[in-house]
Amino acid sequence: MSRPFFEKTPDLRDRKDSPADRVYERPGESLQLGLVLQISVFVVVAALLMLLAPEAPWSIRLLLIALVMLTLKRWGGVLVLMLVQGDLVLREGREMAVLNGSGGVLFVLVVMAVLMFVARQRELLQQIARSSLLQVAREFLNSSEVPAESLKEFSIPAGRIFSSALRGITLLFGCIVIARVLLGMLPTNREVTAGLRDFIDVDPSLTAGAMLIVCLFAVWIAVSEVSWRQMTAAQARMYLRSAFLKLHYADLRMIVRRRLKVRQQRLAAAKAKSRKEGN
Amino acid sequence: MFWLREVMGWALVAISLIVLRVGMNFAMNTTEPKIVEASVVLFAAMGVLRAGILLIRISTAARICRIDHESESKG
Repeated sequence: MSRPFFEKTPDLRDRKDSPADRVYERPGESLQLGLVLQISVFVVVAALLMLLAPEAPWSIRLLLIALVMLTLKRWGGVLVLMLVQGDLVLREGREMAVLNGSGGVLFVLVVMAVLMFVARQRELLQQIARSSLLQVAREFLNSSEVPAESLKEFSIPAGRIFSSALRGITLLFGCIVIARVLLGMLPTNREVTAGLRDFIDVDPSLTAGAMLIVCLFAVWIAVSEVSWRQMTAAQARMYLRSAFLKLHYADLRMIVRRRLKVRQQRLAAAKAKSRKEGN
Repeated sequence: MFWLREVMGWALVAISLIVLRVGMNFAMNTTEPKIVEASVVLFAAMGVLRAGILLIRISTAARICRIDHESESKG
């Protein structure tokens, strides 16, 4: 006779190094680094958004910046990308010349760097955004009193930082080259094709763009499915259980998620209480 | 029988890409653009795509589980 389901799954409540506990473990150094990263990302994003839509009034620009900042935690760089795309569409035509040349390459570099940076530091951004501003400031100040021996444990070799930076820069330039090649496939001179609109229904330049989008979708699906096949048997079992629960027991899933949320809130409150008592 | 689901999943993905292309044609008609119709068709294409990907993923995961189970029972 097979064992019941709850006996097969490990009970994470008794483990001290459970994932829930690790989430709320915030060493001072990582928090300090996270705060610096967050501030730098915010400054760069704000500067970037100031450059966008130069003819828009300041109130609208400030509203856009506030919107992006508030959603950076949950959506990552999606809104930044959407705003950049919207700005590029609005500037289509003669005004697009502003983005040509070295200034345009710099603009693309900054946009790509911000997006990659936000995508890479999502976890840290979420971790920082979970706590209040006062709490972050207090921990930031406390972390400066950490003894030198403990700081040594967290120091990263310079070679590793260099290789990581080199990897990031190579990836960034690779993405830009691919983006330029893809953009090269799309015609930029719309005036030449404008005369054809009266004779045919669909603009040929738009047809090429549509084909490109469909091909991109196909490639994206193929790549994601190939990477999906690399999972282990344990991961496959977990996915099947999750999919089964989602499809057949949506109510049970809702209850479990609610309980997990309450448990995380209780854990966070307990941690904050113990920290307050320690101070 | 998992391969049958996978084939069905890939067929759904292919159909969704075709529907996506058709929806884009609606929006790209420069003389009489049909934006609302295009959005409805694109929404349907996304639904079909999601269903296809779900079928592919479930069948792949099930096949991996079965291979693991067979190798465990042999060993």
